[in-house]
Amino acid sequence: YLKCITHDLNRMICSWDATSSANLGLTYKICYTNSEPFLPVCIKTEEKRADIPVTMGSTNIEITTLNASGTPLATETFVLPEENVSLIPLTPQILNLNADFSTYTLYLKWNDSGSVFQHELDASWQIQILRKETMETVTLMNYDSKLTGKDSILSWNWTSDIPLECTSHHVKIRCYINDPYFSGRKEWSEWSPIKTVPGKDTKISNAVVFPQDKVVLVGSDVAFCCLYNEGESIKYMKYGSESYSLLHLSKWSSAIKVQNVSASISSGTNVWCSVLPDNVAGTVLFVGYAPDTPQNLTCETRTFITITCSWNSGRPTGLYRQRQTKYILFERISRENVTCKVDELNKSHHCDFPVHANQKIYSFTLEATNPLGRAESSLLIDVNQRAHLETPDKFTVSTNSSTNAHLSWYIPGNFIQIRLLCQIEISNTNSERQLQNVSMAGAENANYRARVDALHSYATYTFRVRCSASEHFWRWSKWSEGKKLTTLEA
Amino acid sequence: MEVLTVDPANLLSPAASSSSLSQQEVATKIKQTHSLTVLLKHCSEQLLAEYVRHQGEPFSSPDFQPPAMAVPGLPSPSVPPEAWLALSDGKRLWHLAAAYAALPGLLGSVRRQQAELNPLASELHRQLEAAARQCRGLAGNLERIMGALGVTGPPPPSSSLGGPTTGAFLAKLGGYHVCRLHRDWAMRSHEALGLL
Repeated sequence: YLKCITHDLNRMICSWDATSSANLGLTYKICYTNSEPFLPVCIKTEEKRADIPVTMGSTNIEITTLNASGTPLATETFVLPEENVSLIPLTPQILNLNADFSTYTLYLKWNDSGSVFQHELDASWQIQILRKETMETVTLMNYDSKLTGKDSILSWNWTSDIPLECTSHHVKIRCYINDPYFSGRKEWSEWSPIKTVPGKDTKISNAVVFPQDKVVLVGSDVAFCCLYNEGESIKYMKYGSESYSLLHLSKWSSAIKVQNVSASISSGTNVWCSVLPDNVAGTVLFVGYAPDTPQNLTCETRTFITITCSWNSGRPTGLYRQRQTKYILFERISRENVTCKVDELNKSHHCDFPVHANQKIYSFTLEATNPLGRAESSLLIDVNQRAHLETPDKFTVSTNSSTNAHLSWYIPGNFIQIRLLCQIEISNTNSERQLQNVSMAGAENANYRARVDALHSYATYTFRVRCSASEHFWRWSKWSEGKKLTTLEA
Repeated sequence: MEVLTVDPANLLSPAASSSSLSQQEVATKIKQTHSLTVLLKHCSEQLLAEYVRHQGEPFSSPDFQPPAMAVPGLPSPSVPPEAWLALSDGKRLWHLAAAYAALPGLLGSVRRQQAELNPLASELHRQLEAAARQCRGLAGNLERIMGALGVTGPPPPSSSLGGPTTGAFLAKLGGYHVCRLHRDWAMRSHEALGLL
């Protein structure tokens, strides 16, 4: 028989089985004609194979077996139609196989050897992942690409359902080329040599459980494995108080798979294995939620020196300390951001952002992140419309007449940009209350004054004052402390 | 290190207490210390219960008996009762002093770890802090009693629990062993002080 295969659609390797029984010292003369001017080309070879160009249509082949002295023993002729030629791509080589243990992900790179072909072709790849000592197939996946006549590095990644530390993972690939214009048989290449990412289940110092201190969303499915030493064996493995059936991965590694985990307590859910003769190993799983969208985000300034944004954290994440939600306040116009210091044990938070000279509009985005996700809230403000003054301080009242009083108070902050509206509360001994509004120019860290007229003589009054922005009212400050005054006798 | 053997009979004799404490003061100090061990016994039981309550299963289940784990710097009171009773007062005090020199630092490490793992467990933090304080008090008392009895104290402890690189489970397990040893030493110290 005669079998011809091509790796590159350019040349084919034909091999045959000689009819003659005596094999020693034989040589073969192979003559072929398959392209103009259709003159036979002959090759002498000692092997029962020859390298022949591939052309469209049929190839006429004549193989003569010669003995040691060159005497022809037998001659066979073949007409080889293209259909009888097999296209088998070269065995691919994995360039490198890397692993990211934290994300259980394998990263594979290989060369597609596209330069072997002169024209663009569709290629299919099969990637097989194997595990355990028994080399069990974990998954077999197809990946399509286009060969472009040049070598390209292809890359692909796969995420395991169990930690990569649990046992060794092996990868091999093979290729299939689909040339619509080639009428011969198309077959898969050989599998590539295997590449391995070793697990940690060999030569460990002490029994250990993986993953260590993982953080997952409520409802996740999580796999854990217990690795132990030679001479040790696993008795059982528990998630919290619940025992799970063991999956045997290797001599020193057993796993469990936990479905739909529920929220853990603050210090996390323990996952542990009892190892004979007398050992215990474990890990902790922190099960919680991604951050909620920051709620009731408001931003105001008390002094026009800083803007204070406050918000409510929303649904608790169940995660604390190094896993807690972190907040960053971004301001788009100035492109500045501030990392907020928050007390995770509180639901309401605040964060200060500097007021910039000559910037009125602030476009804030508050970003909340934790190991499980992120959320954000945005707010656009005009700082002049968000003045919430501090409580008036050093409030004094005085009089030198029977009908009016002089009031003075201090407010920290720089209000040069705005006018203030202050409200004076006048209460008399009959608890009758009267409010008077007074508007004044804002100043910086200043004492403000007002006079109240039309008071009764020799009467005792209690005064209080509070202030706000006059234009674009936002909020009143708190009331100052009350101050009593008795007007002079008429 | 050579430990002076102190015979109970001579315990309070003038010749033995060569330090500044008078006989009466030594007796008072021993009595005070014994009362402190009564408090320590009670509090250490409470602390262990409070601790396991916050670590989740299996710590919180009554039948959880992990294999003993050596805690760096803290000897375990594993000497059998008969052998313990056979020791001299000086030797017993020496063992107690060694334990109570290490316990405050270890309890401090556990408190820091629990502040990370259980930031909401303020009662647990409070008890851990109190336990460290009580151990420091007991260590001080022991030092004065041993000085009065002419018994050389142990070397300073080199105790610290696993650092931040320890996983959470090992941190919980280490803390569990410290709290359990704290309870065991409290019982042993109460017993030993009762014998003085």
